[in-house]
Amino acid sequence: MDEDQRHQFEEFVQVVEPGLRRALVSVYGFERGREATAEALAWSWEHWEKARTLDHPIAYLVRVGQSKSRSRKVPVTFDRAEQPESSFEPSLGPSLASLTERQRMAVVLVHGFGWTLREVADLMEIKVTSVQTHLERGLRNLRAMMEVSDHA
Amino acid sequence: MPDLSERIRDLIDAGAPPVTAEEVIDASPIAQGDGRYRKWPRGRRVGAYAGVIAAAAVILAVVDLQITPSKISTGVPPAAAASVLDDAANRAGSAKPLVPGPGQFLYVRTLVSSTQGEGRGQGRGRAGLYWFDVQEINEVWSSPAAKGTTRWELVGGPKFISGTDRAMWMAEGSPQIISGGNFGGAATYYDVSHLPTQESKIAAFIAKQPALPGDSLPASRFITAAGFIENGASSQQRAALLRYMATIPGVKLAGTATAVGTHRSGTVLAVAMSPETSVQVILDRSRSEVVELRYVVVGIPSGTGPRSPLAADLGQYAFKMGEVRSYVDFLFAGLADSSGAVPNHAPPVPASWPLGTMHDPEPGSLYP
Repeated sequence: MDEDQRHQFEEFVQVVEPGLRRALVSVYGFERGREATAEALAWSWEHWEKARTLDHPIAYLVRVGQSKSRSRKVPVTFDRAEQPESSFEPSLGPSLASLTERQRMAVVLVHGFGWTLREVADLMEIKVTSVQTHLERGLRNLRAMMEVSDHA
Repeated sequence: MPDLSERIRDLIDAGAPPVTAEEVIDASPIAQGDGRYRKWPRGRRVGAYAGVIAAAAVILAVVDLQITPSKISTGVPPAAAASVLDDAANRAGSAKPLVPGPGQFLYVRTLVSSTQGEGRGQGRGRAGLYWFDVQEINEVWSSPAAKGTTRWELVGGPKFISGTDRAMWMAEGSPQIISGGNFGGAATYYDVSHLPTQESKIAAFIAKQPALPGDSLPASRFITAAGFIENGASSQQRAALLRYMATIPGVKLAGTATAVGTHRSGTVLAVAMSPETSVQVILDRSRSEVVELRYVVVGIPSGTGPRSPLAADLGQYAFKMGEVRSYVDFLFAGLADSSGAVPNHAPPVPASWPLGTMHDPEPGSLYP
C-alpha cells in the first residue's frame, strides 16, 4: 500500500466508520460491536481496490462485520463500568440490551441517529413498514422497561 | 434531562469509541510487509496455514463420512433429564473454583466452529459473499480486575458450504481464505466467586445475568449455566448448576452423542432456542463436565431455498434436519499468571484438528 492509498483509506474510514460502528454496536453491544467494526474496516483495508468501489459501503460492511461475528453466544451489553460518573440513567443500557436485535437497531439508528426508515430497511433487507413496526415496538418496550426500572 | 434520542446517541458513542484508520492499518498483516499472514495483535488472526490445507482436504474426506445427524429425543420425559443431571451433580468431585488472584487471569480454551463469509462486495448483501466453515482454537484470558484478551487460531482448514460458494471464490481469483473475526474478541469474565453452591440460590443468580440475544429465555439460561460450568465453577457449584439446569422449562434428555471437534462422548441435554434450533449440551456425567455446546437444526422454515448464497438472512441458509450448525468444545480451564500466558499444566494443543463435521459436503465444496 502506498501513501496515496493510505490517505484514501483514512478518508474512507472517516466517512464510513461512525455509521458502521453505530449499526454494529446496536446489534452486538459495545465490545463486540466495536470489534465487528474493526473487522469490517480491516476487510476494507485488505480488499481496498474492491472496497473503494462499493456502492453502499456501510450496508455492505455491516454485513461483513456480521459475517465475522461468531456464532458463540455472548451477552449484548451496554455497560459503562469505566465511567461511573456517567450522567445516564443506569436503566438505559440494560433496557436497550433486552430489545430484540431488530428493535434495537431501529431504535438506535432511527431514533438515536436520525437514519431514515429507508436506510435502515436497506441495511436489514426488510420492508420499510417492518422497520416502522420494529421501531414502534422497540420504543414502546424501551420506555416501559425504563419506567419500570426507574420506579423499582 | 436530555430526551431519549440524545441519551441513546450519547450512550452508543461514548460506550464504543471510534475505530481509527491507523488502528486498522497497524493491525493489518499487510502492514507487516513480507506478504505472509501473521497473527494479529490481540489475536487478530491466524497465520499462514496453507501447509495444513492439503492434509486437511484429505482428512475432511474421511471425517465427513462419519457424520451422524444429531438424535433428538422427543419421547423422553423431563424427569429423565433431571435424573441424569442429578447423577452428574452427585459425581462432582472436589475441585475448587477458579478465581484469579492478584495479577492472575482465568484461562479457558475451547474449540469453536463458525460459518463465515467473504467476498468482493459487488452486489448487495449475501449475493457478494461466499461462505465457508472454519474451526478455531479460542483462548480467553479474563479477570475481574483487568481487561482480558482472547486469541483465535484457525485449525483444520476451511470448507466451503457448497459448490456454489467455491465457484464464487474461484471467480474472484481464488484468494487465500483467512480466518475472520479475530479482532481480539470479547473476554467475558464469568465471576464464579459469587456463584452460589446451593441449588435454591442458583436460579436467582442466573436470572440476574444478561440475557443472550435472539434466544428463548430457557435457552439463554441453559447456555449461561453451561458457561459457568465451563468457566471455573467449583465441583459444588457445578452440582448446583446441573441441578438448576434440570429445572429450566423444556430441558430434555436427548440420548448420547460424540462431540464434533474433540470426539468425546456424553449424555445430551437439549432445550429449544427457536422453532428451528435446539441448544444442546453434551455432558460427561462422570466428571460433571460440559464437553460440547452445540446448536442443532430441528426445523426448517418453509420456503427456505438451497444453501448459500440464497439464504433468507445473512449467514442463515438452509440446513438439513439434525445437522449441527455450530459448536463449542471445551478443552481446558485453569489460572494463568498473566494475560497471554498459558498455565503450565495445560495440555499442548494438537498440531492440527480435523475440521468439524457440521455439514454434509457438497460436490466441489472442498478447499482449495
